[in-house]
Amino acid sequence: MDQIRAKETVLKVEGLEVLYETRQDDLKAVRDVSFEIRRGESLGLVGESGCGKTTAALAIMSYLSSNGRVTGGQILFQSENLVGKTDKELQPIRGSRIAMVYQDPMTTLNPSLRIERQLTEVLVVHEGLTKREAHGRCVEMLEKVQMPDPEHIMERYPHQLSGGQQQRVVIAMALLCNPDLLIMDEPTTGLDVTVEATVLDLIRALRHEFDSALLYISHNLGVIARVCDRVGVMYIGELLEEASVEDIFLRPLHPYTRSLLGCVPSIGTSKTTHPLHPIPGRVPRLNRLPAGCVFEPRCAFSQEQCREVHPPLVTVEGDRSVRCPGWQVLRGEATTLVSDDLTAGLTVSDRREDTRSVLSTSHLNTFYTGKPSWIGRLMRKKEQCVKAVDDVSLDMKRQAILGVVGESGCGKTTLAKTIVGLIAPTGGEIEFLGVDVSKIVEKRPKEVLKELQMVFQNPDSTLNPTQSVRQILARPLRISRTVPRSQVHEEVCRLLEAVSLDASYLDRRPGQMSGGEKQRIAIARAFASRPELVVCDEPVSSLDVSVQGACLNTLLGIQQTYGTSLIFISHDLSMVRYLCDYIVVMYLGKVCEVGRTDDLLSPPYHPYTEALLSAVPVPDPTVQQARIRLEGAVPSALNPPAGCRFHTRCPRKFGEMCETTEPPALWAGGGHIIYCHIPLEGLQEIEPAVSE
Amino acid sequence: MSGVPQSQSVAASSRVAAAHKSRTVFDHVRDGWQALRGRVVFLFESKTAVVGLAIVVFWIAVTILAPVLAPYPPNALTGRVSESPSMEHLMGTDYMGRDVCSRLVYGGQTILLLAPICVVCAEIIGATVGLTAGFLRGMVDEVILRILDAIMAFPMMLLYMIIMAATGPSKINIVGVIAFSSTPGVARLMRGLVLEIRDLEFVQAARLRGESALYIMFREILPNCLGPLIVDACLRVGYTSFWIGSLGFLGIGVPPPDPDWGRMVSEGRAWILTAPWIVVCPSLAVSSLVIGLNLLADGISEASKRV
Amino acid sequence: MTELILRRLGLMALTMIIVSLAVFWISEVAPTDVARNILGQYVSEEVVAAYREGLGLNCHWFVRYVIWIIGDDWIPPARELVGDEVLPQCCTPERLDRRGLIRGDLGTSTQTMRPLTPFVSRRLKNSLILAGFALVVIIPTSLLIGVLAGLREGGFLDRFISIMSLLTVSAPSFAIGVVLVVIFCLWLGWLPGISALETEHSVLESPSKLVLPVLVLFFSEVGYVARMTRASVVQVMRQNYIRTAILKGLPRRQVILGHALRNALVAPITVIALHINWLIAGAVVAETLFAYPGIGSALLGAAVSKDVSMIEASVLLMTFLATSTQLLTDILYTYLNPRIRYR
Repeated sequence: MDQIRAKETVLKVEGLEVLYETRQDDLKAVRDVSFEIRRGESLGLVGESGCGKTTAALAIMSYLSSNGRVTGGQILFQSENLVGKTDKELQPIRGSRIAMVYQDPMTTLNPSLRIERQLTEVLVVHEGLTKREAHGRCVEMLEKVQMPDPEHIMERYPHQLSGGQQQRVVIAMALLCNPDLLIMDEPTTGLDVTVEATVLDLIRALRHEFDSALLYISHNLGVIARVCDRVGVMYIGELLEEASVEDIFLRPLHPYTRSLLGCVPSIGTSKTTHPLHPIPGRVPRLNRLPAGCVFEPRCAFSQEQCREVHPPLVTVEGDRSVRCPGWQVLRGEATTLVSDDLTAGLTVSDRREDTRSVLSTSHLNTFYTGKPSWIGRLMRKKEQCVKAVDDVSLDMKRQAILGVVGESGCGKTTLAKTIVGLIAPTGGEIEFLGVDVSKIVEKRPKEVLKELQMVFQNPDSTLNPTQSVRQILARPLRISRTVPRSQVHEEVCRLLEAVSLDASYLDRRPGQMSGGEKQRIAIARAFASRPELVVCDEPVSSLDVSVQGACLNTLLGIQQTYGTSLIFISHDLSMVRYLCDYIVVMYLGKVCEVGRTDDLLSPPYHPYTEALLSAVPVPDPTVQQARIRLEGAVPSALNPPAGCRFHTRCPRKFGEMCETTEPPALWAGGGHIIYCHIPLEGLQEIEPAVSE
Repeated sequence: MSGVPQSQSVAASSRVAAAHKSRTVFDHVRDGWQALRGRVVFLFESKTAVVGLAIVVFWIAVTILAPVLAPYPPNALTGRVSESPSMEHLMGTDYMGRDVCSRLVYGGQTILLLAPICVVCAEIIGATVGLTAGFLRGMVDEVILRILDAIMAFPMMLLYMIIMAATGPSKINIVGVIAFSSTPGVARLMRGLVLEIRDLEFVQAARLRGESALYIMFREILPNCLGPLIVDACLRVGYTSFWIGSLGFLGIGVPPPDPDWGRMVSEGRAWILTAPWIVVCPSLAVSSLVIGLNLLADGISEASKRV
Repeated sequence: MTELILRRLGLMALTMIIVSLAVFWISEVAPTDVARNILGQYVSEEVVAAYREGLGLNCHWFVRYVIWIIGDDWIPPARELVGDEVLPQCCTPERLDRRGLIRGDLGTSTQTMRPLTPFVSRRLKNSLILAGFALVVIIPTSLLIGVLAGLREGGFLDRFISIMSLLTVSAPSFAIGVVLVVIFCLWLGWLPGISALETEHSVLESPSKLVLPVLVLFFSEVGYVARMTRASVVQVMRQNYIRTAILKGLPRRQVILGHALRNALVAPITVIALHINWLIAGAVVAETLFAYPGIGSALLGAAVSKDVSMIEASVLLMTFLATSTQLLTDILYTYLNPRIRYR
């Protein structure tokens, strides 16, 4: 660490202030942000949406939108102040000495230009190379970012590459001129977790090779823990704390940092051992900031002086800084805080397990078939079949929470929709409360409908924008006749209370609510008819970290009150591990492993589960994770591999059997089933993927 | 929730419940009025919309007050032939000796009467067709799409000419043909909206409740389409006025002797170099009306995007 | 892509069949008495009956329709085939001697009794010349204006262009024409007025006659295309890949020419392709105002004088043009869009 600190400073930001002019107000999106990055060092800026981290990065590149400008402070890049420079002056710097990697690689690359053109033009413009020389350099760089078959890739268009490949191209583009400063803005958000792991490994490897300074922006604490040396925590435009990565995660000082760490589920925590403590209140708007400390309204330790005086950023303990006057007092306190309303009464008691089955599927299939049109048939095109859900057999107990986890294309959403009836199954059976419901929802018996409901993923489209909350909640009550007509109104109010919202929300429209509030209304709507089973399809993935915890707790609370069973679908293994009693792991439409949560997280496990566990970013730099990495990307569902679907990427491939025959079910006791050719004893000998 | 003592929470919730209890019709009307007023205020922020509105209102007023405003009856021969503008005849007289200004004042009624009717018909029929096609999909959708494509491939002018050749020009023919030709555009717009909306999650939630198809179409999907439909209607009124004016010019619009700006231009075009006021005045009049309608429509669509 | 073309061709054929049936039905079948419609009120019943027979109108409409499409000069005369006694009343003694629509024979004008094909092809040629010149002027101007407006979004130039576009698009073509005539012929005296062209001479012999009609078409279209281009440019400049290009350190000119325009011009070009059809058929207003002998005014004349076969023929021609331009547009769009071209 001292070696790095002794190197030269590449970027020094002092007192940066950025202003946006809107029709109503002037918004100070970034206020008094200062940090420093040295050569070879990486600084992570972490914070939730709207905290200004991306704005700060764009300000460094001087690429603010037309209504934004830097109103104060300096940005010293190798002792040159970038503030106030014109585009012409900046043009030789951008792309060659400072380079940037962005969030969504598909939209970052120009869809009408070949990869070769987009890569070579950087070298042609900045280093004056000819096209041929540039071509050679680009191929070399593509090899360095571990692209298979680089020559071929150069000829392709962006849409012909997978997400992970596209991101590697963007990274290669940024590194071509060996920049002094590399800025990365959420580069792995949107990638599958196993692909994300390989890209993060790549970033680490490249850092050693290139010795650039790295500014890494993310909202994901686990990723920050893996990639960065130092961390800065931002909240509504201010830097609240900055320290080394160990200090931030193990000895956080600022109340916000502590709260943030306390409301993120980690792979080692479950709802019984470490309940989540979401941060109460809402993020204030930029035009209505508190006068004193910006975090004060939501802070559990706030004092009189916090409300009145805006605290400055002070340097403590040598190399860290914090913006809180009470840091010394807090140093002694416990690292997690307990906040009242959202956790009150959340006793996850050891209730007796209810062994009755509420839902069971047997060899369930859902295939999407694309029949070619009559012209296509004339041209002899074959019928295309996507086996989204292939031979899935599950059994769900009452009052239990089952998690379904897997990456893109694994079929978990299709499974959810088939169980609930939005899609008709192609084969197999589903039995719900003793009734056969292997059909589409329009054909199911009406009495069953109110017992099986769903919470959807996207809070912006889950509620009808033209209806008020009152209408949205009253309708399912009226239809299912849960309560007599005269009591509908009271029941609506009770539902609102159950999701921690007050009656002032009754006449609001979805357009007037935040994402978290809308999702809570959606939860209330699903539970209105007091169903036996609720399927939740990634209900909190689109929400901010601090809001996710509140939603999850709401869900848990309401589930306990009504004794409902839950099926919780997610790609986030940490969240599933936190919430669920049982877990199902899916890959390309098939089940790999199913069992109790605790059983699943220690060996024996399926090689895919092992890969997932070792790939998941953990917000704790001291945790040891195995480095099992999968090659390539998830194969196309149109043409799944024969035999075991996972064999093309399996690091523990057993032999030819894996390519030809479907794996058998291995019973590991207590309902734990693994579908693999490797015998159980072999799986038990695997080292655990995650250890403290 | 279970942490708070049971009795307290029940009491609290019933107090709050009583406060928000019943909503009468009056409440609904008041809400609707406030929403409308909010939208109108938004409109006034756009300068283009204000100018457009002013022009349109001006012409509507002129047309309604035509009997009062016109100095002479529109078909009466009140002056010498092709007299240039003077104090007696503000815009001169035409080739027959009729006062141009009076004819002008009466001439807008064709457009202002027929265009809204065409558009309303097109919107209603088109929206229904689009809703059906988008919601039901499958064979129904395919067939409807083919029919719409065929209609759209057919230039409207030609259709009108054929119909006119068969049954003669009349107001009903104009309305019928224009509405018929505009329907595919509206239907496609609606179908596109319906396709987007029916996959949204609140519609899926309605299916899970067991709602009937009619309920989903009319209570879940349709209210979300009204915004774009209204914007489309506004744009379409301008477009329709353009065509009604052109039909008048071609001599195949409403039959004489109803005064009509387009026909005034067509009848007077032989005198364009000798007595230009005969054709320039109605040209400017019809242009200004259509410009006003388009400005207003532009302003409305801008305002709706900002909301 | 082959599949797309095949499908479009199939649709074209289907549309043509439907349209031909529709227009045939409307013109000849639906109105109660076609012959009476043509001859007018004051002619006696016998003359009408004779005329009807002469036109072959006593045949079943489907037979007439089929003859119209495939002609009857390749069928031997009915007399030879079946003999005198069995000859049905409907078919005329003499064949109509048509080669059929499919082979390019558009029939005979009901009004002038002269063959339609030479007349229609001459008029069509004039319309194509007019449309061609108009396109040559419209395409570069509107694209250039649109791109400039889009790049300086919100600036004075942008607002000026937007307002001017709105004004010219809204004003009906005849109004624009009138204003242009007043300015150029009356005030400035640069151009001759709107005297009629003799229909036998080629339009290209007196090019000054083309100027005003081309200008009218120009002003009607340029605003629309310019606005579309502007909107497309504005949208493209907001895309992430433009941000990437700028932050890669590319000079502004390269960003615009190399990255932005390639994506921004796809929409306007396809719109222009679609509008070719309008420039041919919809120019009827300009043609009427300036007495330009194009296909639009020919059709108008036919509609007014109830020249049934002319109406049928030209309507089918126009529909063919319309569907062909749609096909052309689809192909163009597919070609310009790598996402579709290379799956």
